[in-house]
Amino acid sequence: MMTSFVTAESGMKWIMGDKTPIYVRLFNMLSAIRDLSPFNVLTADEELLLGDLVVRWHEAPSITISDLMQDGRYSSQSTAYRRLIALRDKGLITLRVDDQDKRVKFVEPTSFAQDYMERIGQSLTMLMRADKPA
Amino acid sequence: MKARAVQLAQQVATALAIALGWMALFNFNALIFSPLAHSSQAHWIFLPAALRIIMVLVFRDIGVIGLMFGAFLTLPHPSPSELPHEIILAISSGFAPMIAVYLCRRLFHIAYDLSGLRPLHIIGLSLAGAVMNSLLLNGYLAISGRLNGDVEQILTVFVGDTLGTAIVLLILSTILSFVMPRRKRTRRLGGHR
Repeated sequence: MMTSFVTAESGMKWIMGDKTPIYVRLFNMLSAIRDLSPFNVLTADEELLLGDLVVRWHEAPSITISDLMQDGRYSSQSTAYRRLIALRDKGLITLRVDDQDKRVKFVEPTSFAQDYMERIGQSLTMLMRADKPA
Repeated sequence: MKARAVQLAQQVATALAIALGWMALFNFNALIFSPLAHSSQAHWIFLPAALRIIMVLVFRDIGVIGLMFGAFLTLPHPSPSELPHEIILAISSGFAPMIAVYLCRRLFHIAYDLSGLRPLHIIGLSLAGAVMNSLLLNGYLAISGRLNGDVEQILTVFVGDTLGTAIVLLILSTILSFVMPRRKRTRRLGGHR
């Protein structure tokens, strides 16, 4: 049976409301508005993963998703993958499919991530200079 | 009986607060962007438009009533004979976002508790609200013979509502990104449709 686009029951429920408290709707609304921000800051977990990636990129430029997922530091493979996707959505990494094997995907830094790494490097250099006795 | 009275008082207070919020933002908009007013009904930047979608999504029928009341309070009230015209304008101000929210909810499958609401949905809702408001307002003005061939006003209302909503959402999202703790989308409160 075809369902109609607009039904009287769903219309009344939407207009008059169901039993959901206002604060739940407000919280979900504000969460969605926050995600619109151009200043989409990293969570602590994402920052940790990015830091790990920076070290790995320094050691070997080609990192596959499966390499990361096999790492025991992350609670589960799906958690690691979700954080990778979050970093991709924030423009810090790209996922490149291997030309030889379509099942293999490489995690690569974007220019934004490279800029981030350079800034960390500059900050470390400044700290080391400041620590040196005159 | 007492519980019903308390609930009614809360609803009236909420509607009044929304109306006052509308008035405050309307006057602020008039103060800042008065050179961009096309007519008394149309501005090239109209900040209160952002309230329409937010209030209807969160407060639903109370939000609609609050918006209508707020819009009525900010109309010029030149003479008592203009009262029916102003009441219709106020009703269209609350009715347009209600239609937009209803249609977008069906289109994007937005849950009643707004769980899973995404930034793209907010953008879609804002654009739909601007379209509906532009159509309803100018449609009524055209039918009542008050549009006076001013086709540019249709565009002005749409652009004004879109830009106004974008500015408010940008400011709000920037503030929220710094003050509101980030949660995983899958763990949002609620979850049923």
